[in-house]
Amino acid sequence: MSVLSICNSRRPFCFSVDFCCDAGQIFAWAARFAIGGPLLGISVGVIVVWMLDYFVKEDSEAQITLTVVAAFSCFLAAEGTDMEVSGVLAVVFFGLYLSEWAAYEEKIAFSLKTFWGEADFIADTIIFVVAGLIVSSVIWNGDIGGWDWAFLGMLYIFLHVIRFVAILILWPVLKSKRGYGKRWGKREMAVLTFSGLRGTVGLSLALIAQDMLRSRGQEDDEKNGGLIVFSMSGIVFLSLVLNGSLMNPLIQALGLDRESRAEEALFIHSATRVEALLQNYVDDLLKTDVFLEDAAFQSVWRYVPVFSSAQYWHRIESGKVHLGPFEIQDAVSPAAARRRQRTNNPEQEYCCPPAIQGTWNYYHRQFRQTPKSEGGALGFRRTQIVITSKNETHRTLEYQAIDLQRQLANVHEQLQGYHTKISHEENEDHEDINPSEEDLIQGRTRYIAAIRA
Amino acid sequence: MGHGDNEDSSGHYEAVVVVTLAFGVVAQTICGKSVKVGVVKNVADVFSLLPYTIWLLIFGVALGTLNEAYQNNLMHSSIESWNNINADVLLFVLLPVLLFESAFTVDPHIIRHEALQIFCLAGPGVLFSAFGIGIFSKLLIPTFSWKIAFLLGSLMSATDPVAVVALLKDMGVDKRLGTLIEGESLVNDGSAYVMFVIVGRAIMRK
Repeated sequence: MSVLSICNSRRPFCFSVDFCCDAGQIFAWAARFAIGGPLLGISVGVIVVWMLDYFVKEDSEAQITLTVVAAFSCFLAAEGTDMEVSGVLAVVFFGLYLSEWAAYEEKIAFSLKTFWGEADFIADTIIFVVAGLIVSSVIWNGDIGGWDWAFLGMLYIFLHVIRFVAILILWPVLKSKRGYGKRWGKREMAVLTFSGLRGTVGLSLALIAQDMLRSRGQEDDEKNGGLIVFSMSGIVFLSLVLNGSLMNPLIQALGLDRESRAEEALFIHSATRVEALLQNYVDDLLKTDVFLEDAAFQSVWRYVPVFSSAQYWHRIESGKVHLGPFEIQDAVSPAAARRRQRTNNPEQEYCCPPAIQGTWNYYHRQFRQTPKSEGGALGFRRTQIVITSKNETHRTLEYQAIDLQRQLANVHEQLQGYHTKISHEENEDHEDINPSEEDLIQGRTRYIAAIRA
Repeated sequence: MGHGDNEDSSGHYEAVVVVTLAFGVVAQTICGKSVKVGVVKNVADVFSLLPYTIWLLIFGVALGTLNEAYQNNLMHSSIESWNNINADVLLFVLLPVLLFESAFTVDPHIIRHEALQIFCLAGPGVLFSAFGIGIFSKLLIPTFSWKIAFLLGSLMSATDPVAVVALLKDMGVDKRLGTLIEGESLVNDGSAYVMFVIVGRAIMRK
């Protein structure tokens, strides 16, 4: 209120500077307002980061309090004093400066992010419910007629039109290739146009506008204020419901979620690399180990995840995984697999532990095959990998590969430990050069169990 | 909480806050922050058809409607306090929290890469759409003066595509596009607010 209202002793924050409607003065004032805000925010940011680094590095409570004090004082100094700069821009740039710092101090910033996430949750919740309250009071007081509802619908459409026109005008700048990636086209333009959702900030400005108009108290002000909150809430509602839920189908229809051919090739290549690394690891390190020589490596390879059809076929062709007769049947015809699953108990027929039968069933489906007539090993032909949600696949690949690598490394480390222990014993006791039979058996069982787990 | 702008409402702000947050926890737990379109099997799936904030808005309207029916209780006076809320509370308590949080959690590296695009979209782009919306609403709503129409235009230019940005990231769309949308919304909060203050002052000047 304070920023907008004329001086009033009851209001704690107010400006003494007169506002003038001369265009030049407005421009000068706006420039000062818009440039001063970021400057204030960044200078507060510099001070706060310095304090975070040197004074309260270890104390998360003090850090949180410091950022709270800084964010609010930043806003108060900008909006509530004669400084005449934009508090919103100051806080935004203060936050950006701090996020730069937080990117390097991930661990320390965690508690800050948790706290501010919670504060944001509460603020969001309050603003949306209060807007709902005001909308209902506006509707029940009869200020909203049929024309206002029609206006809301037209405004919703118009917002997209005007956003599209703005993007069209700015397109030469927006599409320009800076940094990395490929050029943007019509598809990106559509997503950009469609992503003009309205939310909390607009809603809180509408509430502020309503209070401002009410306190001015001229003719129609009460109704206009109500209409502003009504239309803003309506737009927030429509844009969140319609744009929010139609964005997913839009992206799918435009094909923006799919890999380009280059990305796909890259993905398959990296999957092949991972496979080669794993093969080296298993063949060179694990298989040659004295304790693991008769481990069930068929099962080990069943546990190692498959990400591409090349990988899938390599497993089968190189004999790392032997498909049972029923599995081959399932791989050839997914319909047959479904039929059999309905009638029979699939556990009897797959030659792998029950825990991963579902996974292999999924692999057969994922790396889909064509019939025998079209050739290929085992009577199938390799087909291109189909990635529908590429991020998910990438992430799965990454996590599973890391996890697997860690598990294998763990087993190997234990083996190394055993070797050292044995050679240690050898050094200590020259008479007993070979480990006892019992030791060997115990060691084998242990590591086979570790690998199977 | 408030600054005692309206002497008639005694300021029972807490009642609404408590009820609201209780509902907020339920809605947040059930549907999370993003929209999940899928098969509706139980109550939780019905909730997840709409984003969490929309449920809050609906809850607010329902609470206000109940309030019209049942009066003379604590909840009623609390709702009246919130209906007549002083904008200072929103401006000085809630707005800094929202802005700081969204700026703090943004990825600074890509923002810097796309600074030019973001400022084009959030500067001239916002000015253009604010004027467009202002003219549009002045033409359609007879009670609006030009100033009030531009006030509506400026406050309607602040975009907030949180749900969409999360979706873009999940679906693996070009990372630059998501960042441009996120960065634009961050900066156009500021530029829309600058316009809002300019128009607001022109309105309050007698």
